[in-house]
Parts: sequence; C-alpha cells; structure tokens
Amino acid sequence: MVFSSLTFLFAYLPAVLAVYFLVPFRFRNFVLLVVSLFFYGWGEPVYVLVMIFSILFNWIFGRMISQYRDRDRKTAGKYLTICIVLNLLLLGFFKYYDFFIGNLNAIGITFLKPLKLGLPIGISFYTFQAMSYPIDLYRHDTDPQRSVINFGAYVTMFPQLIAGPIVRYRDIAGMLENRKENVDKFYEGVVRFMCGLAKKVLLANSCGQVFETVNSLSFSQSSVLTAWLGILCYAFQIYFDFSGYSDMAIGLGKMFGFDFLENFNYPYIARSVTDFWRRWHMSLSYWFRDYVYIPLGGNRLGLKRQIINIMIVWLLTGFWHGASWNFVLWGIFYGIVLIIEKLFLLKPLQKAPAFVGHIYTMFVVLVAWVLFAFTDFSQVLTYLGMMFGRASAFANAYTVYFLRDNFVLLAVCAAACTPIARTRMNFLKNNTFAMARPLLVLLALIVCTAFIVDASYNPFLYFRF
Amino acid sequence: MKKNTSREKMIRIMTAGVFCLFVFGMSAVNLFAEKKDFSENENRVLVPFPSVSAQNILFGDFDTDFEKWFSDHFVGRDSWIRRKASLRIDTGAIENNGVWLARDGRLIQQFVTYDEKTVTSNISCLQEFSDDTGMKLNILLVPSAAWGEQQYLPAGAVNVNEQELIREIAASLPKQNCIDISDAVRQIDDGYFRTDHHWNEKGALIGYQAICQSVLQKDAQQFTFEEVSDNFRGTMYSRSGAFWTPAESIFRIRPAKEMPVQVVFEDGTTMNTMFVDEHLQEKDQYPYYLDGNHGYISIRTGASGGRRAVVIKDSYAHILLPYLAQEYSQIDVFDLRYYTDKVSDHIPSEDRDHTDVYIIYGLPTFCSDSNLSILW
Repeated sequence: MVFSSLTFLFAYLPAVLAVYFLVPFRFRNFVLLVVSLFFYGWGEPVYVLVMIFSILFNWIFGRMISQYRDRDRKTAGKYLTICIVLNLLLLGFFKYYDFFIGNLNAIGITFLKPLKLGLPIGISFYTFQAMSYPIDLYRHDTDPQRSVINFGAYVTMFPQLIAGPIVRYRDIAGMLENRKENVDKFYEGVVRFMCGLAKKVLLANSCGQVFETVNSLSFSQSSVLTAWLGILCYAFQIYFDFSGYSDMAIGLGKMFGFDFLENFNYPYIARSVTDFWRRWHMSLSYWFRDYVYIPLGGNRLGLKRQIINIMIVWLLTGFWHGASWNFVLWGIFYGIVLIIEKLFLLKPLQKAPAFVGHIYTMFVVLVAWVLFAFTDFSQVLTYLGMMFGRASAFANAYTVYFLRDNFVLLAVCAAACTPIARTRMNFLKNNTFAMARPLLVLLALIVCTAFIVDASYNPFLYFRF
Repeated sequence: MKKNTSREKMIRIMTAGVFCLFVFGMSAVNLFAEKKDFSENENRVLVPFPSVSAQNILFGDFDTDFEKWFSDHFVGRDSWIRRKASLRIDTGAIENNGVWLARDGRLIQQFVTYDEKTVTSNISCLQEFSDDTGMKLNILLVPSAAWGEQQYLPAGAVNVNEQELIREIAASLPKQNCIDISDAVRQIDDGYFRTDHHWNEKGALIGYQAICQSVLQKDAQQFTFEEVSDNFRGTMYSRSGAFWTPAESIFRIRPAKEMPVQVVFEDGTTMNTMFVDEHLQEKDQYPYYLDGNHGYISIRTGASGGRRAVVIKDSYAHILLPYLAQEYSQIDVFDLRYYTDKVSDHIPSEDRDHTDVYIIYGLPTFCSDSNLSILW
C-alpha cells in the first residue's frame, strides 16, 4: 500500500487515525505497532515474519549488549558483531543473493541457482534502522529500550517503513516514551503530508510519464535536446517521488506526535556535488557517516586512508540502492567525483560565480541519473550517446511537443526544487491570506484525488485488448 | 497579539479540520455508496471484490485485487476523471491519457511513436504469407485520424509521419499491391469520428473507392448515408476523460440497390444484415458495423461476378465491409487477434484465381499488433 493510493487515503489512514486517537496514550505505541504490521503485511503477508524476527533479535541482542557494555566490552562487542552479521545476512540474503548467484553463473560457476524470492519491501530501510539500535547501545549513545512493543513500534513505524527517512534509534528514543500529539503538530503534519502527496501525485508521476515517452522514441525521432529534457524529467521524478515520500512520512509522523529528521534540503540548488550529497537523502548519508565512514577512521588517518574510506562508503551507497552493477557504477562515479572535488575543485568552485557551480552540479547529477535509470548498460550508453550528440537532430518536433505539453509542469517543478515556496509564500502566514491555507489543503486534496483516480482509469479499448 | 494567536490557532484547527473532514467524509461516503458492476465509460466490467481466503490473502493477490476493487468502485469515479482531464487542459496540456484535445472538439488518438521491430516483423509475416499461398496481397493500411485530420491537431502536437511510413512499408513489399490513401483521406474534412479512433463512413468510402480503382479496376458505386444514431460517444471520449464533448452520429451505409446478405459468425450465429441496431443502445456504438470483433465472419451476398474476397483485418475494416459486400459474392473475414487457425486453409487452391486477399488495418494497430505471425 503506498500513501498515494485511494486505499491508503480513504480506508487505512482514517481507520488508523480514529483508533490511535481513541485509545489512551499508554496503548498508542502498541496501536502503532499493530497497524504498522498490518500496513506491512498488506503487501507482504509472509515477510511480516522476517520483520518480526528482525525486531526480536535486534531487541534481544540489544539487551545482551546493554548488560555487558559497562563491565565487559569484549563480550558486548561479540554480541554486537553477531547482531550486525545477522542483520547483514538478512539483507544480503533477500536483496543480494540472486545477484551474486547470477554473477557466479555468468562466469561459469553454476552449482547454485537464483531463488527468485521477492524482495521484502523496505528491507533496506528497516534493517539499517534496526541495526542502529545495537550499535548506539554499544557506543553508549542511547539507553536500552525495555519494552519490545516500543522497540517494535520504532522499527515498523509505517510512515517511514517503506522509503525512509532512516530514523536512528537515539533520535527517536525519547519520543517513544513521551510525546505530545496536539492540534499544532497535527496541523503541521497535515500541511507537510499534503505537500508530499502533491509532489508525488502531481509532479513526480507526470514527469515519469514524460521520461517514459522520451525513452520510447526511436532513433529517427530522437534529438539531443529531447534526451536532456527526458533526463531532467527523470531527475524531477526521482526527487519529487522520494522527497514527496519523505514529506508524507514526516507529516504522518507529526500527526502521531513524532519529529523525524529532515531527509532533503533542496538538493538541486547545490553548488557542488559535495553540497548536493549534503542535501540529498540526508538520513542515509548520516547513517553511512556514523556507522561506516567514521568507524573506518574517516579523515583522521591521513589523506590516502580518507580517499579509500570515501570510496568504500560510496561503493556501499551505490550497492545499497539496488543489487545491480549500474548502481555500483553510480556509487563509484559519485565517489570519484567527490574525491576530485575534495582534492581540486571545491576551492575554485567557491570562488567562481554561483551559476558556474549550479550548472556544473546539475550536469554531473543528470549524467549520474542516466546510470541510475537503466539497469541495462547498453541502454545507459545509448541514452548518454543521445545526450552527447548521437541523435538524429539537435532538436525536433518532439522537443517542441514535450515542451508545449508540459511547460506548466516543468515550470512548477523547477520552482518547487528551490526554496521559493518557503521564502515567497510568507504572505500565507499573515492575517489577510491566512484563510488561504485551509482552502489550499482542500484544493490539493481534490486535485490529488482526481489524479489518483485517473491513474487507475483503464478504459478497455478493444483494439488494445 | 493575543487576537493574532487565537486567529492563528483557529486557522490551524480549520486546516486540520478540512483534512479530516475530507478524508473521513469521503471514506464514509465511499463505504456506503452504491456499487456498480459495469463502467460504461470504460466499456468494461469492474473488478469484483476479491475472494477472502487464507490462501488468497497469504499467497495470492488479495492486496492488489482489493486495491483495484477499491479504486474501480470509488465514489464519483467518472467525475474525478473528468476533473483531472479539465485540470490538464487548464494547466496548458494538449493531450490527456494519450488523446489529443484537438480543435473543433475533436478527440484524436495519439500516434507519437511505434516499435520498428514490430513493423519489420509484420512486413515479413505478410511476405511469408504471400509466398506460402502464392497470392498477391492487397494491403490497405488506414492512416489514423492524427494523420487524416492533422489540421485539427493542437499547435505543438507531433505525429508519426504516416505517409512516409506507409510508403516505406509498401517499398519493402514490392510484390504486393499496397493501396496508399494517405493523400485521399486528407482531402476530405470529415473522414474520421470525432470521439472515436476509427474512420467513419465517409473515410471508409475513400478506402472503397481506392480499392475499386486499384484492385477491381472499375468505377465505384454510389451510396447514401442514413443517420441511425446521434448519441455515439466513442473510445477517445472514454479515454480522454473529456466527458463534456458532445456526442456524434452513426450512419447506415445504403447502396443504390439493396441486395440480400447473409452474415455467419464463427459460432454459427447468423444475421441477414451487416448492421446491428442493438449496439446503438449502448455507449460504444461502433459495433453497429458487423457486430464488433469476431475471429471469423463469413459474408454471402447477392453480388454478381462470382468473385471471392479474403480479408485479414482489425476493426477498421468493419465499416469498410458494407461497401466491399457490393462487389464480392463471398467474403471471409479473419481477425488474427481472435482467430488462431491457419487462414490459408480457407483459400482452396482451385478458388485462388478468382479470390482477392486483403490486409486491412489501422496503421497504429499494424505497428503494434504481434498476431500477424499466425498467418504462416
């Protein structure tokens, strides 16, 4: 069940809100746990067991670690290691097993066969999230959670279960025990949720359709400009999809009294790729920084070691995004760009006029999205070829058509990538226009519902049977 | 200041309230609203409630089936779709769901791109079929409305260059008789339905005249058109969501001299006409012509001359066959999307010198249909 579906908006969400606010506070984590397991089990009825297993062993190992962490670091460390290995095995088995076997088969080692198990939804997110608990405990960054229900509510919490933000246990520990749900928070949650829903339904999905059509053009219809327009639409799609999902998660969290950390900070206005990655999927970057980069020594062991550490982190980041070589390549590409920036580019970029940095960053990011968009490497090469001149024209009627049909969409997307809405829409806060806020929420609800219903509209035209 | 804060508080309560009212209200209305089984606009049976069994919930598709059921029966479904279509127009778009919102209230199917591989493979299927049967094929690929009525397309629209494509296909089938009507359909103003992807009786007349000239080598007969319905809302009406578009008319095609006709379908059902009035009571009325899609139709007429035709076609041919029926005493019609046996078995070799074989497709179908491989 995705947030941008009728089932979520008009069946699941009202039911959950009603139950949650009808029960007294001490039962609310339990309610969250149950409805989140239902949410997860809706699409993955069998894999709920994997999730429950993950909750239980992380919680139990957490108890062991907290028992030993003061008097016997070695034993505590042993438990931590086992716990991390278990988590990684779980993730590795479901996400990477078939990939490795496929590669082994490809080089002639064929005694194992791919299992073709479906990937449990969100496993990359919730294993990372669950893992942060034993590690934080071991490092004395947090206190043990006595209640398995509270811990379960933390791991499964449905707002961020499927696509993050990846919440570290220590950031949320206090709120599990004590948080305030009130009108102000609910209001903030509603506004945030609606922003996210509109981003996903109105912007991301429409941009996705443009990219899809661009992709289906034959060579004789292709052009350089269309290819750039297409990948720009992909960039919009992936940003509004992902950040929209984060907004919805943060908004829902607020409705239930939680404050999750921000996940995006206008990444496309970055002036360097380093800056971009401080603004894109921040919760993942923090995770890799805190649990991989710094433990590896970070920048404290000399430049050579730092470069190796950066490459390790980016190899893992790429691989985390999917079990396919193109994601690995994408990670390596970013690792290299970031190292080059660190060594040579950052200083001149800071001195250069802002637009140079913006153009350079968008150029790198768009090229990298091509690596991300296609799992098939020959498609990557074809698309990059189109962008750099291997097309039948520089621009043609199709370019005009895409611009003509989507100029409002593109303009809104471009504006929504910048903080303009936040800085220029302040008038909504003053009294005269304050009434616009409930009206805007209503309007957004109506428009989003229309788009969601339309997406399920499927005229049976018999010539397409 | 105090007043300000209380006002701010009120706005916040109202905003949260609007959200809750909408979400809870719509859910409640939706829960109790009457459910329909059939969507006229979509021309399909709506998804039924999925079966509730442990097997289906744990290992089946209960979740996706439930979500399909939920959105299929969502309250006010058609008006949401209409709302989305008008929002698209209001924000400057020139198409919705693959339909051009063209001038003069016309709804024209987009034909923006196609798969070259499918075209190549269909070309070789035809060639093989011709080699296999030793018969020359008369190939009529009907340009889509986006070509025939391109003067109505909104500014900025693109379309496959259908003329070029039809000529390319003809050039790669040099031994066959390819009938090119890409200029002719542009010369009349009204060769296509305004709300449907098919050509209409006037467009099909052009096809018939071209066949007379290029295959039969005789003058075309005269026909008159009799309006039989004025409330036809076609496939493009449904797909575009532009439900404010006015309905249009359906015409019966009347030859100067009516002759007896017998139509037999693959299941043995027989009719004595090529026009099915019952379909004029439905939303989709194009099946008025030859009862819509059938795998096999046999048409016997009182036409003189004793010539036979074998027609391999998609639904574009349905409105053309009433014209052809005037010229052939026997027509065997095959729709390869529904017919899976060998077509050549229906062309006995002793008949072959007085049989004409036709391939009649709308160009977009020809470029996307993978069923032609059944031919040989």
